[in-house]
Amino acid sequence: MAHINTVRRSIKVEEWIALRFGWLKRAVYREKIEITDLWIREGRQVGEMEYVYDSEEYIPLKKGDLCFAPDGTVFIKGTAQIPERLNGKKLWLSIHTAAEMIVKVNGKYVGGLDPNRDRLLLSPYIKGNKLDIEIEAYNRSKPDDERNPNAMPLRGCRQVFQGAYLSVVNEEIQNLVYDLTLFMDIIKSNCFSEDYRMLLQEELDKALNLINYETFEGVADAIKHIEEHIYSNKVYQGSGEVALVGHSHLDIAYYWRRIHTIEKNARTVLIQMRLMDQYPEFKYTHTQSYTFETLEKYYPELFEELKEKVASGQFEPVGAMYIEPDCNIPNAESLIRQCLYGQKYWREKFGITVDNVWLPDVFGNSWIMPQILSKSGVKYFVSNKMSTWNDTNKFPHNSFIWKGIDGSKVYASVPPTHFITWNMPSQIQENWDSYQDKREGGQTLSMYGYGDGGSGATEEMLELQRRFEKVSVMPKTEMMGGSEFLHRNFDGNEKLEEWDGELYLEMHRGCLTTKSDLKRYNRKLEIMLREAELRSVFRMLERETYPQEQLTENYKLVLLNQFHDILPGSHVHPVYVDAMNDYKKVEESLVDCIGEGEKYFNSLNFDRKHITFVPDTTAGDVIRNGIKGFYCSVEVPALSSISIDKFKLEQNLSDEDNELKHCFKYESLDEGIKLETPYYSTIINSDGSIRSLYDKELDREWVSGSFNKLSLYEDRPGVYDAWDILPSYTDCPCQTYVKESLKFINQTAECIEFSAILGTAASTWKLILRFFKNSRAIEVENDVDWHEKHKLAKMLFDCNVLSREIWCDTSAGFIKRETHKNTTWQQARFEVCHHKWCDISETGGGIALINEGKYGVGVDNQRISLSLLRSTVRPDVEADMGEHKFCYMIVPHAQDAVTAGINRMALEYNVPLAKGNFNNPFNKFDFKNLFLQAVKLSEDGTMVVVRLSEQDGCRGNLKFPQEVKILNMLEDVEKTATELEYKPFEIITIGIDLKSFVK
Amino acid sequence: MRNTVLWNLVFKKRKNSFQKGEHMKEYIENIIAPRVQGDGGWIEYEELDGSQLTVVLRGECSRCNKAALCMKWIEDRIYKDMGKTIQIKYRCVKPYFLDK
Repeated sequence: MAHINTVRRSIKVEEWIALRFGWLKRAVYREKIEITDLWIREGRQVGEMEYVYDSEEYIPLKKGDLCFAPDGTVFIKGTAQIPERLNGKKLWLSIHTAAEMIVKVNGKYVGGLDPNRDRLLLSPYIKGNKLDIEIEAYNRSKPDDERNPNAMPLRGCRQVFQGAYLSVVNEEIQNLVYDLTLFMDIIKSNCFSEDYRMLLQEELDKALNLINYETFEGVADAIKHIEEHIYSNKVYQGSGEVALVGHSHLDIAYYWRRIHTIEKNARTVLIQMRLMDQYPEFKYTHTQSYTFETLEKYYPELFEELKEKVASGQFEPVGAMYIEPDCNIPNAESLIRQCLYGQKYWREKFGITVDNVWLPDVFGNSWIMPQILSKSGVKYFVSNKMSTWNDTNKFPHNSFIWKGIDGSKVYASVPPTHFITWNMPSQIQENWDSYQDKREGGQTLSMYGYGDGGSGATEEMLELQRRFEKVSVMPKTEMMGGSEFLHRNFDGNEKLEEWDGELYLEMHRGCLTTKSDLKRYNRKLEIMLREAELRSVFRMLERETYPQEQLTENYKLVLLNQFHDILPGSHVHPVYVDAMNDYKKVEESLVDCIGEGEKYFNSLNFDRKHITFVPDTTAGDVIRNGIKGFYCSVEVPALSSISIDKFKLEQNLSDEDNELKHCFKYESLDEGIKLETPYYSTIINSDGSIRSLYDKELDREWVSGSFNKLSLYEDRPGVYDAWDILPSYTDCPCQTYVKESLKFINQTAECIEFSAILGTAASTWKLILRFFKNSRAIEVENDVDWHEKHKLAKMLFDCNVLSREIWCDTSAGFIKRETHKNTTWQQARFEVCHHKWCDISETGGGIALINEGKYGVGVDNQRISLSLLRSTVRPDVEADMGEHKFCYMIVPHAQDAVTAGINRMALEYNVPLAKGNFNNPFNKFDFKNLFLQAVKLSEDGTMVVVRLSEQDGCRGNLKFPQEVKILNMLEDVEKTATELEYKPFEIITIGIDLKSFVK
Repeated sequence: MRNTVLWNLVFKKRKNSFQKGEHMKEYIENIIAPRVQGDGGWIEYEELDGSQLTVVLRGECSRCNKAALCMKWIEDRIYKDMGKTIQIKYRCVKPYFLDK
């Protein structure tokens, strides 16, 4: 017999509940009176609080009018009269909008509106019946609106004005709506027991049956039913303890420019402060002292109110850093300055030193961070992404101790769920269920509040929170500030496990390479900042003025652009333009600070001895990155100036050197060129890749396969286009062809150059290979005209080296990572971060790659793949298009990277030999092998701050010629000493009183 | 992206030729496109045939259900700045991951 499936076509209980829920939501407003006297002026923001207007005059604004334009900001003003019958009633202003609005009434900031909230409470902030309304509104249609389904229909640069209303809320219906919101979330969630969810469904149905949906009589009965049959039911019990921390993630730039963040921040802060007035128990945390700076500068009235809220404990500044930077690419000194300037602001304005960093959205964290944090007054580290975004391995901890490269430790919280939640029971339960340190870690942390573009908590989130303790099936929840959560659950907790290593994010690996110009410029400016500060101190000690303000301003602008959606390249095109303009501005200012001279100054604290490029438009015989100059290998003593004259250098060549002039011999082959240099016998292919590199000195071959081989791959990671590289990218290589075969182009006293031009249909890639008379390094210059789409360009190096480790520079030491792929943890690390160099070595020797601004690198057994360029389309359609010039060096060497001095070579490569006449004021100091990372005037102007970084993994003792102050990284004096022991990878900060330099 | 402030100055100087409808490509690239890019959108000039202007929408614009309203705004801007009545035809080029 055929079986016919039964299909229920009549409305199901859950659908019927949802339908009535919708009716109740529509009835929340008891009365709405349209405000008809409104006027609008359209414009666009072009700078910080700077606007251009589409018209001089305001024009009338009515419901149904089209308003806003792409990237538009509008100003709305109007008046409203409160009818007498509404006197004494709780009055709201409601506008359903996609825009972000800051609202003033009668000259006072009353609140904010945005896609996540369509009303603000007026009554407590107004006197009298007449309302003068002023609204500043910035429209955006950023995809994150998709988190709130109510906002989706409103998306778009052009908006239809939905009307503005004086509204009265039916509080009874509103309360019922909050109850239903809470319980319907539980019904839909598999996190809760099926039995309980069935109970909820039955009782909610009964409660809703008590209401007449024509008149809405019976709402009170429904509320009573829920109280008696749901809230009072303690049969079903939940478990767990969850700390709820109100928070709003605010990207300094992302799908908006930095200039817009000033209003986003003001709106977010204003909204949260108004919620604190309504909900005195509400506590909220806000990060990034930069945002407080802009509030203070542009919204002083709000800032004064904020200070009161901070003093009362409701509004909590968290995060020691100036902004939430990317934590892979900035160097150690940048991360230190993030803390220095961040904490300086907190101390000056609020008298506090924040003991945590709050970095929910950063794309992984360098191993150098625990030391920097712990020496900057920070005990606690918070970052979410490893737990929620890892694509291969579940990060095994949520509450743990993080041990850094030098052994320093900080407490670490990696909450189990996303940092943007809306305080729903299912999200809270999921957080507890996912929490891995239940036995050791105490409470779990759940952040709530809309963000990315700010916005923060809503009334609904706080109303739900007031109900949680009545819901027996939920974990125990407690609202608190971030600092309280950290202190309560970490202090003295000896059960916490330890993680010794980087916090690598198994996602967003493409950000190490996307928008390569930004990475290159960031590195360049970090080096220039060091140079400028050091030279300024040297000049100051010769009685010149130290340009403190200029240097600080420049540093902060570079730090700002290290934000985790700027430097990684995950932003829209105008943000890139802004960043490049900022960089140019900083560069010009630093060139001015660095100054000039007749001689050349070595700002490194060790003798320069490697091959150096000296720009010289007159005597230059090589063009490098478009600049004319010459290569020389002259020794320049540490922190000293010497004269370099190319002609004199050549005249002074010894007979031996003269003989070496003829040290390069080459012959063309059918495919490529065979070359003899003082160091190598090499065969280079027509495409510039190296077929063979025989080392004469070490008597070994370095090449095993493709070496210096340009390889393009299809690069389509999906919606996170700028962010991600898929592990399968190697499956889809793309063809390049040789446009111009390798040929000899130039020979000088120091080097010989060959070039090859490769290409695709859209792009041209010129390689110049340089071999040197006095260096084993091989420089490869790349001059690229890049017009690909969805391509990743890598340079492959199959090394004849047997090593299970690749050593990668972190800027404050090196990290060793496995080259094999035994486990999923190693497999996931197919693209990792390195700074100036990476190296694979066996006992007798190895190969280092030294770069000037590349960060992404892959390793698979003996193959190193240096990531060079990408061509993504989201969020920026034109990312990386255009010209690129960059160089790197291949350095085969004896022994391991430390013994071979690779780090110093990389420092010399990255720190140019620039003109300047200086005497070394530290000539009595012996800094041993530590790198002089920074020399600056202290923030209080009383001492010279010297930062030394141990980068080889050695320990030792420093002896000072006089007593010095031992400082933390905030320049607080910890003790004085004439001797100091240092550990491997330790960063030491000392202060030398200015008066001790007086002659 | 060219400097918008600079371009506004250039625009003021070349207003006469803009008002003859010349330089439409530059107008789209330098006046309209930066505004559209501000929110993740992207617009490119494709061709001008009499009073019919064709543009290509990429990025967030390619999936916007209010694109027609935006095109109307551009038409109004062109009329205001150039005195020309233009009808805009647009085609959307979605990013590969949305091209279903």
